[in-house]
Amino acid sequence: MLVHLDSAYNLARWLLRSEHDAQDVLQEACLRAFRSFDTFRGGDGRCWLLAIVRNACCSWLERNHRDVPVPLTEDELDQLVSEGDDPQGQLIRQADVDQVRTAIDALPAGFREAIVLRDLEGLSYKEISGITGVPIGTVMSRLARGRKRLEERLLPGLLKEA
Amino acid sequence: MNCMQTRELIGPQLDGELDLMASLELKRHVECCLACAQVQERLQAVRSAVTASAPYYQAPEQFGDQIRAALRREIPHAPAPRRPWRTFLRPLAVAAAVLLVAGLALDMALHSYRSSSHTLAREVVAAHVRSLMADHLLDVRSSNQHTVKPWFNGKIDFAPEVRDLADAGFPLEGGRLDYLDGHAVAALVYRHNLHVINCFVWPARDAEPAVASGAQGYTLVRFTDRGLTWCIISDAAPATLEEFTRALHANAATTVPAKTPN
Ligand SMILES: [Zn+2]
Repeated sequence: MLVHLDSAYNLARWLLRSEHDAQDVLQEACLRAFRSFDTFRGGDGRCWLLAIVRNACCSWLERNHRDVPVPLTEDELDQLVSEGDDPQGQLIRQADVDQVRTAIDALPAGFREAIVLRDLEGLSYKEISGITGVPIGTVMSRLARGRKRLEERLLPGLLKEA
Repeated sequence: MNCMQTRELIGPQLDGELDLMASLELKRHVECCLACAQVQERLQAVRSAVTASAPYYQAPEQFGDQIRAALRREIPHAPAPRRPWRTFLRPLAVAAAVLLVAGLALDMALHSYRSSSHTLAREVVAAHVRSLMADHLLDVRSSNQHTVKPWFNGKIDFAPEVRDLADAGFPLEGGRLDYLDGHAVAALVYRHNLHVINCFVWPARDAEPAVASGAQGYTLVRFTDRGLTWCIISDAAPATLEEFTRALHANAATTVPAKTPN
């Protein structure tokens, strides 16, 4: 199960938009997964764990209304800048990361979740549908609408660069 | 394919979710429709921006340790699966094949769904999953059989044969002490590509038939050899486990049965 910890963490971090909350909820979700591993019917362990984590995040969001993402912690900032870059490259990269991250953070949770699972986890529509419990058609439309919003927000900048 | 249909499919095509025919049709349309080509290009740009620049948050090391510690505390209280074992049993073609192992007098019988088998298999699945979940895979980490075998001395009152099977594609990873049905058992851990193979070994209680079965996506092989019961479990394909069992036997057959040191 811990081989999928990064996937679980990434999803929780994106859904809750806070390092602190992601760790709280994820720890609880891991214990829940551990206690209920008999519900695991074989197949992909990552999808099984992600479904549990996703549900835990959703109930947390229902209980705690927070509309604004929590700023990154120092540790997170350090982690996100790749080490190999020269200082100049690091600045440019940091700007890109900030811009894309802020744009995704601004999406409604359902769109954000679809994009994270598809583009960062590389999961198929079918797997995403299984994890989020919505039909494949809904996954497709959430992806399309989420990407449309990102396009409106990011693309003027991207096209200028090109 | 008209423009409206095309636009619906641009995303799925980028995501590799389109079948070949639809993909070709889409390509044909985009080649001669500038508007759709631009939509495709913009979507592609957004997607590359996300994959290139969106942070992938990795669990901090310290947090991983925290989770591992929490899971370890859970191990003694881990409940047995509540679902009836029987519902997960499906006949496997490997059942017969695994039993055709030369060189060893195996007590062979087809799987009789005895209730004790259910409980045992369920516990074995649970122990296997626990070992993977809580990072409790190895107490002694070594590919050297001469390190792993003595490690069990004094911890259990029997001595399982330990052989590195790297030549056959199953490197020995190490071993640990585990518990099944309230008894301490030896667990030998092998790896095959990304699959972990757990071998639980304990003194045979009664003549247990050799069996192969599947449950919850795992394959189990069980046999008794020279007074020890071996229960092997992995999520590797049944054919792989069959090969592993054969390698284990081939190796055992070429060595003189070891005297129990204790
Ligand atoms: Zn068109």
